[in-house]
Amino acid sequence: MKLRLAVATTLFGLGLAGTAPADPLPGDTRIMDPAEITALGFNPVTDEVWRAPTFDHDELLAARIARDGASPQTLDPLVDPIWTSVAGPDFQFRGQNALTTFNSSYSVSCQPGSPVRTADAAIEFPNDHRITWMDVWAIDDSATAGVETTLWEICQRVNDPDSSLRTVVQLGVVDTGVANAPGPLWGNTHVGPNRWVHSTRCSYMVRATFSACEGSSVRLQKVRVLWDYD
Amino acid sequence: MRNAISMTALAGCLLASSALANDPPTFHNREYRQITGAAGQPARTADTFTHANGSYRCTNSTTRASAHVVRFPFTLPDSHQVAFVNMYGRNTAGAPPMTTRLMKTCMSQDEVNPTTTELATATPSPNANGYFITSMSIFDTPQNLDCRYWAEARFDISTIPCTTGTSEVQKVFIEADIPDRIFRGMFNTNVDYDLP
Repeated sequence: MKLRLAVATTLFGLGLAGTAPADPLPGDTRIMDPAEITALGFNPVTDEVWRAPTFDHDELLAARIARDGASPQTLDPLVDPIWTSVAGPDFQFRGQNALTTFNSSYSVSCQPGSPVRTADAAIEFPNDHRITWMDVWAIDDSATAGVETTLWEICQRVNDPDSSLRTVVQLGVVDTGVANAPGPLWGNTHVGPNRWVHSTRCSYMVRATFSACEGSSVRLQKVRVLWDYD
Repeated sequence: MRNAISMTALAGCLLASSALANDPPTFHNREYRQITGAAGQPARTADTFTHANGSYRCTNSTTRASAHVVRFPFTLPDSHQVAFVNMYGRNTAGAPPMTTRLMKTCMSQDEVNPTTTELATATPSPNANGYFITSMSIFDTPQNLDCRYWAEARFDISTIPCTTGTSEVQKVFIEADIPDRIFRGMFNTNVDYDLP
């Protein structure tokens, strides 16, 4: 009897592991304001939206820079992280009436008068690796506008016919700032430890949100996301 | 003795659950890819859309003879075999009829016209709230030298516009098999670590 119970418990445990949606990590903050969830482009009824804390990455960034100019151009899978990038043309504005420009330098910007300021780009990672850094290349020559780049994980249960409840986590943010004009910018953020890729139940995207549409004075050029192994 | 077996099994359960805590049990030689709905490419400029909750949502407010089509191109390594292409989405009661297809178009170096093949098709069966998952099974080996693959959703707006209900694609989920899995991923236990 107890053996049967143990077997049933084992199967139940495996079943739970198989159906649980991805969980936010300790320290993540759930966004409870429906208006804010809607403004982020999600549904307050069906989407649990979380925000990862800002991770103090100064020491890690110093180590990256000291190692090799902070850019893993020489691929060594045993040492260096691996990455996926999206560039300007990968972004699609949220709504067809957006006024946009994808110029020859492969950057994306939104044009004055555009009613849509948000563009999304799908990005993919291999399963069972840890997302580490998000690097952003942008040009911000405006003292009145900027572009905020965010990395999102959107998860729902595998093979659940009612796929309505989804867990969304904003993994990282790089913002060029509204009131300053840093010009060409290489910004980055570390998403913190143990942000595992769950490609069985999660999809990922990068979102560019322009605070105002000021044309080519604010452009997003490229976003690179790095990961590592065990 | 039975208690010992029971405790051992329970410990095994906890260990297995811990090892699998990050991902559900999977076939060891199966790879998974997710393409978010916002990556969808409309087939025509008249196919109006928006992004909602990371999904691609049809917003055509008038009817017309031609369907609204959204495509999700993808590439798999040559060594993979496409097993299932699943589409997650929503098609509420008032929304136009919807079908999903898996397509392949091929053109070798000595061909003038491509050959486009419908590999699989499916009709969503939404639940009461309109949510659905369609699964298209093909088991086809990618021919990346000559061919390109995509999944697509077709919204039949000939009599019902999209805006009378909700018609959207949340994501495309591709399951592909690797014939010769070596080690990476097979023994993964997702061991957490601390950063400074």
